[in-house]
Amino acid sequence: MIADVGIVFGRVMFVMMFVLNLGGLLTWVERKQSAIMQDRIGANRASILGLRLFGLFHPLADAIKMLAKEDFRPARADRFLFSLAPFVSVFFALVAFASIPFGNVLHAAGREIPLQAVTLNVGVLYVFAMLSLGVYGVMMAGWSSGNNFALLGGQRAAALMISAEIAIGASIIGVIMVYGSLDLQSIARAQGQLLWGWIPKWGILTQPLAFVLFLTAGIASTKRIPFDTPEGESEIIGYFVEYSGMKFGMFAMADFLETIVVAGMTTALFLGGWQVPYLVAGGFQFPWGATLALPPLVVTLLQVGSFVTKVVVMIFFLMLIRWTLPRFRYDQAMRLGWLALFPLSIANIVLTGLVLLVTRPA
Amino acid sequence: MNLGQRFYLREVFSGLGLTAGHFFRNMGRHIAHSLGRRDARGAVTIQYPDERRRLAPRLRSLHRLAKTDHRAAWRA
Repeated sequence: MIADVGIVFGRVMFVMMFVLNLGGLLTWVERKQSAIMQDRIGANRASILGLRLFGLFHPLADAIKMLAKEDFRPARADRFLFSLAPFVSVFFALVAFASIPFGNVLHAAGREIPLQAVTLNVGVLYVFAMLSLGVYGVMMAGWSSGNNFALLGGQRAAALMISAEIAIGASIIGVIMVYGSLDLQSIARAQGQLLWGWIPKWGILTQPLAFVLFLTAGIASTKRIPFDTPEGESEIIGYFVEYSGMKFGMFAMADFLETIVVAGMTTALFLGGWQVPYLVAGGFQFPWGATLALPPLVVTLLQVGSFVTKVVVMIFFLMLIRWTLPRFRYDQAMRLGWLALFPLSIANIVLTGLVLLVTRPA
Repeated sequence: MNLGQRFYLREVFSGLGLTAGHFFRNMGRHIAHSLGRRDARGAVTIQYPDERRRLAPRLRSLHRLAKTDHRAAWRA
């Protein structure tokens, strides 16, 4: 009994710590990666006892600064909702990662431990439900600030979220059709099969169009450049103008957490989840006949490592996009969502259905 | 704009190629620098108080605030 509770606690804590620490680290990654892309050095001055560690202490210094700042609340703001909004934003971004599997099953002490914080048979729907609920925090922030510019920013966020959410929902239907499940763990397992005996059946190969559509809509749902019309800190003023200190930091944190969730979802749906090519339960089985037996613990560690590596690579790619593309105008983002992503997703569903009808025996 | 530019996705990838190229080139130079290749520089930054730019011996500029009283100079 106690062991069961401990196992559940451990699973949840692993995911929680992974997401939270990665989220904190992303503030550093963003500054350093953008600097290296732009021939700069980036933040490197924060030091503890002369130890600089490539500026790794900057997230710490930022957190201390934000906690020590004045917590400003406008006189006409709704007191309760104004304080609640950043928490809602961060909460839904944090819990969204829960049903993404980070490994297959761990066999330990006669138990089968699923490597997933929560085993849900509708995991895909759960993640997107949580991701889209995050926009309530943003709308709350825009409305409760008592500032018209913030209200307009919140309205832009809601409009962007709806157009992105529709495209996300429609683009993953192709993946669900191919793997025949809404459970992220069984989707990840199904991606371990081989096409024609030697190509891993990853989502990016079976659903390349859906991959592009999902990634575009996913970036839009994180509210970062090129889809940052809700925020637009320096020019058009976003929903969090009136926020200061750690409440502002929580909105920034929510964006990073959403980036991690989108990277995790892309990994789970399109990059094979925790799969390592040709790695099955007993070790490697290469298509040319060679085998390499491995103990179960090593297999599990390889799978978790593979998942973490894929998520980190996806985050690198998302950051690369964020620091390369200019911002879409509001009407351009809307047109992209409704007139390009959505019809293409529908076309992808029809196309997938036709291909499945031809290739799969009835 | 031709069709490829209107479609935008191809241009996105060419832009990503440019920035990713900068990233990996600079990253390689940073790594080479930390491995002992002192001439490899991954950034154009000169970190001023720690690093000084080598100036030409006959440089005539003065790094100093001019404290001339211009109104007094004008009256004289």
